[in-house]
Amino acid sequence: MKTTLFTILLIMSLNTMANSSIEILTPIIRLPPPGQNVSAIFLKIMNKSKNDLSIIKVSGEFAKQFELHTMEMKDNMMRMRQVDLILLRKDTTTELKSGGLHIMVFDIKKPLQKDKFYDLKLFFSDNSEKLIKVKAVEFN
Amino acid sequence: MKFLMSKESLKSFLAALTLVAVLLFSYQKINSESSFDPFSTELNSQDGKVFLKDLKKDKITLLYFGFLACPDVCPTTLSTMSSLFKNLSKEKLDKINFIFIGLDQERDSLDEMKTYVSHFHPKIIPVIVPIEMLESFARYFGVVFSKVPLKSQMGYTIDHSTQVVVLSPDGKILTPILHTYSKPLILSQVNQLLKDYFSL
Repeated sequence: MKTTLFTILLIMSLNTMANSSIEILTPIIRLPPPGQNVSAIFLKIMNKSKNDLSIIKVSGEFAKQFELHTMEMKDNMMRMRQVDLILLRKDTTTELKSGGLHIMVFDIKKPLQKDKFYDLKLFFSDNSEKLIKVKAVEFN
Repeated sequence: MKFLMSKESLKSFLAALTLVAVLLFSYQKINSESSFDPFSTELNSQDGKVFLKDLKKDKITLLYFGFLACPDVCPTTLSTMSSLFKNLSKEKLDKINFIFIGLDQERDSLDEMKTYVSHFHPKIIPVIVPIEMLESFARYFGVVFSKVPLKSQMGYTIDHSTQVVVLSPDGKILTPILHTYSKPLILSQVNQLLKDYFSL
């Protein structure tokens, strides 16, 4: 009985541990212009696992709220919408970039400092998570 | 009973009447829009009331419509254009206006807009078009926008056209600068305009 319980707990803890099949490249957050405390996070994310996966939530200490957003440009018109998840196809690199998918950040608590790194936690649909550091950069 | 219209005739008469009414209304609407003059519309700026007809004189005028909570497209455009301005000589820069027209008058004041645009380039002039004229003003230049409620923390966003409108010194609408253009392409487009209009 004890062994079974231990095994269950071990599996549960493994599930919420860092996701090693996910690799994050060049995560950045743009320094918001003066007077603004909203911004966007961009990054490339490689799903090296054999299964599709989704980002379902993002959290961090440096801001009050993080949302997953998509943006589409049609006939030169920009449309931004909130989405529930960002799908990461297996063996594929998904790019969160200017003009497309991004993590939108609201109510940044203290002004971000250029070139400083900020902790961000990504939560995935398989119950795993990944802690990354995003670099604050100027536009362009 | 002879003089009374048959049911069919009455129907036709009413249909014709409706058609005339619709045509009249459309004509009036088109007419009022085509007679709208954005150049004589009183705009609010940090320096008080200004008119596009005065601002555009002897310059190439660039108009950009946006809002401050816009997380990506607006700051990217302002940043791109500002970095381009830094590559132009003073003589060339003096021949260019860049006007930022606020689309979110509920949230963005002129002071906030000024603080925002100053971060990018001192050249950018923020203006507010009287709200009742904003749609006609934008449409004249081929710009459309619409307020869209979101379940997000933002409450609402504003879908909007992303091109930079380009005007000649006499107010002619020239080829716009699209959001997808690269910096070198925009630079050559602007240089060509300065050459064409001012031999610079």
